[in-house]
Amino acid sequence: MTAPIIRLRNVVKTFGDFTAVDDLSLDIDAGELFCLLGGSGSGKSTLLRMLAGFESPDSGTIEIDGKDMRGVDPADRPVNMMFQSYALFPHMTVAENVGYGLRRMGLAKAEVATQVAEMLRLVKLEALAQRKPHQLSGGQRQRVALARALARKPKVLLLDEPLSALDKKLREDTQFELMNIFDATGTTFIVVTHDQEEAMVLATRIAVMDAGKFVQVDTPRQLYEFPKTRFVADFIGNINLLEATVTGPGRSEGLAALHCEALGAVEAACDGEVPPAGAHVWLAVRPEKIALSTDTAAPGYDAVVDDLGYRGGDTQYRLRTASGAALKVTKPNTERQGQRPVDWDTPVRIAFAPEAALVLRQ
Amino acid sequence: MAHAAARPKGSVSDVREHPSMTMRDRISGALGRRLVIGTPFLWLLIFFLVPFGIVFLVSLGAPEFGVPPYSPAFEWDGGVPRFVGSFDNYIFLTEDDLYWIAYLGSVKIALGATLLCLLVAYPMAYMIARAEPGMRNILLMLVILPFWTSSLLRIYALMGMLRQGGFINSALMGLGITDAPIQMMQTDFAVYLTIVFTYLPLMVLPLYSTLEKLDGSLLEAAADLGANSFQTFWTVTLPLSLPGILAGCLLVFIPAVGEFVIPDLMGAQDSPMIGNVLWGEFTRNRDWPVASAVAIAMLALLVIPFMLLRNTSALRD
Ligand SMILES: Nc1ncnc2c1ncn2[C@@H]1O[C@H](COP(=O)(O)OP(=O)(O)OP(=O)(O)O)[C@@H](O)[C@H]1O
Ligand SMILES: [Mg+2]
Repeated sequence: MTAPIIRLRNVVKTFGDFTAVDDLSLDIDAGELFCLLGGSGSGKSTLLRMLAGFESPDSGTIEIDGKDMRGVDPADRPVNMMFQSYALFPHMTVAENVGYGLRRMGLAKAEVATQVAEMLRLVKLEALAQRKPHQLSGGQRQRVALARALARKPKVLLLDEPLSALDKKLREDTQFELMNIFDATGTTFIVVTHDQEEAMVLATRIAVMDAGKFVQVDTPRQLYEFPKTRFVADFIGNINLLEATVTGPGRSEGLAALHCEALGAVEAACDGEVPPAGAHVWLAVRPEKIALSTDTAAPGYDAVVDDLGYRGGDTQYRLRTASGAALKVTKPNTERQGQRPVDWDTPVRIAFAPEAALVLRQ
Repeated sequence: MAHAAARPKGSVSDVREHPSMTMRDRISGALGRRLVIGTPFLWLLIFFLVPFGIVFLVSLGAPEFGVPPYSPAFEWDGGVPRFVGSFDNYIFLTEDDLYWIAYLGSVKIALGATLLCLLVAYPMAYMIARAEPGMRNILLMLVILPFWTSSLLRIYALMGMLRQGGFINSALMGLGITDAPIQMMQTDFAVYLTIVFTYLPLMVLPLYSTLEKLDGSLLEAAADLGANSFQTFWTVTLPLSLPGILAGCLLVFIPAVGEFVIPDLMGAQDSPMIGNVLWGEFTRNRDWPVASAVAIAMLALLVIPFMLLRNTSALRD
């Protein structure tokens, strides 16, 4: 294993008496597409700006490519940033924007021109090289900004909410384009986003941030299937969180038996050790992992359909259990004309495998 | 392109007109718009174009004793106006060196003073735009404050500083730096200094307003792409503040060319500016037609280059 391209050690950044980034340590390997995911004000941009050199940490160290970045100007760092507002120079053409960083490296005119052309080909903007930024659509501007940031072939590309200014449809296409460019360049990408779906699609690893701290750093799958806290479970995707008490170990290894107000006796998987009996925990089940049956004799628990939302690809049901607790269940609509199997106020039975549910201690 | 063509006719985006806008709204909207555009037009017509026409007519006449002290350019001949004026006054301007020298001297002084103004004002505006928001208003206030006192008063204050026995000369001699007073009044130096001092706010304000609007992330982007602070200034800040530079330079240059109080009080008497010549023709010589011709010629010589400049820059965009 080679040394990480980025090493953060106990990085702290305060503004006045407000701590924006709170004692962060992290290693990012070369070639990762790393996402910083968090709500507004969680410190994502501040961390990114410290990597770019626009802010300096109050304490802690930032190493990029094995070198301590303390006192190193943004211009001298082996990173480039793609700004949230794109920050394209309005008085320069697309080609001049993309070539700006190359000209600063003192390359010959012809060399700049070839590299600009190469970058524009990468982002499929060859035809627009002579336009000014105000003559471009939002998606085109986004690609100019990306090409400009990539032109200097940085070791690490920092992207602050690169897709947030695009509409939903374009955003989804652009996500895949971004991944293609990532594959083509082999550069390490660090992407800030507050869109968890975007992070899941893009990232090799995601750091979930809250109030200046990392809550969990993991692969998208791990974050989704094995969230460590209720915050992460709730932040990533949809989930049912039910209060429960541990009554003992479950029937097989890694399971715990719980008593849950909403459902009664249940079993669920533990990530790690089974908590001691009597421990207060949360039962977490993803809506799509719950089976729904109109056969009232089926195994599971009783519930009634309170509400349902047809979303095209799937339908979300809001159920009420016998004890009155609310529960979300989603079912894919795999058939086109099949009768809607479940309607308002229908009594149903719900069930889930113990392995599909997770015990959360915090 | 492909999906634009495939879009069915009469889709929602084809409906341009807002349904809730009635005929009356549209009419009163058009009226309102005409009023808004029309008011400055009317203003310019009454207070610029009409006086300009009168001055132009006067410039075609000849001086006379009497009231008014010139012969009219038109005579009424049986209810029909007949042109009796001439362009002699304009020809006269080209024959006497005085006018050319004064005109070129004025342009030279105005250009120099405008450039000095820009050099002094740019750093000021830059600093103000970069200051804390609370501080900015105080600093702007300080720039504008001198404008609230009469400009004549400020000129006399400067005279008090620059005179032979004035504050600066007494201080220099008192400190033993010079033995004899330095001649500062009645020099071009005094004229430049006073113009810069008087017109500085007109340069600072437009510069400030463009610099203040400058997006800070553009400067960060330049730094991120490897530019040092000088390169950032030269390639980003300066080009983006050009509109402010142009506006400030026009605001200073145009009144400075026609300035007559400052050269009259501070400048050497043997090199008058065009404003002083005009003033002299009008008052001392009581030659209204020549004075009018000077005014019109000055305007034409100032306006035509600017119109050409504007057209070329419009072509470029
Ligand atoms: N220059 C600054 N001065 C004072 N406070 C700041 C400054 N920059 C950021 N902050 C504060 O630090 C906190 C974190 O800001 P940051 O921009 O990193 O959030 P973010 O996670 O990027 O949020 P968003 O998703 O809204 O962009 C915020 O509460 C913000 O108000
Ligand atoms: Mg942000």
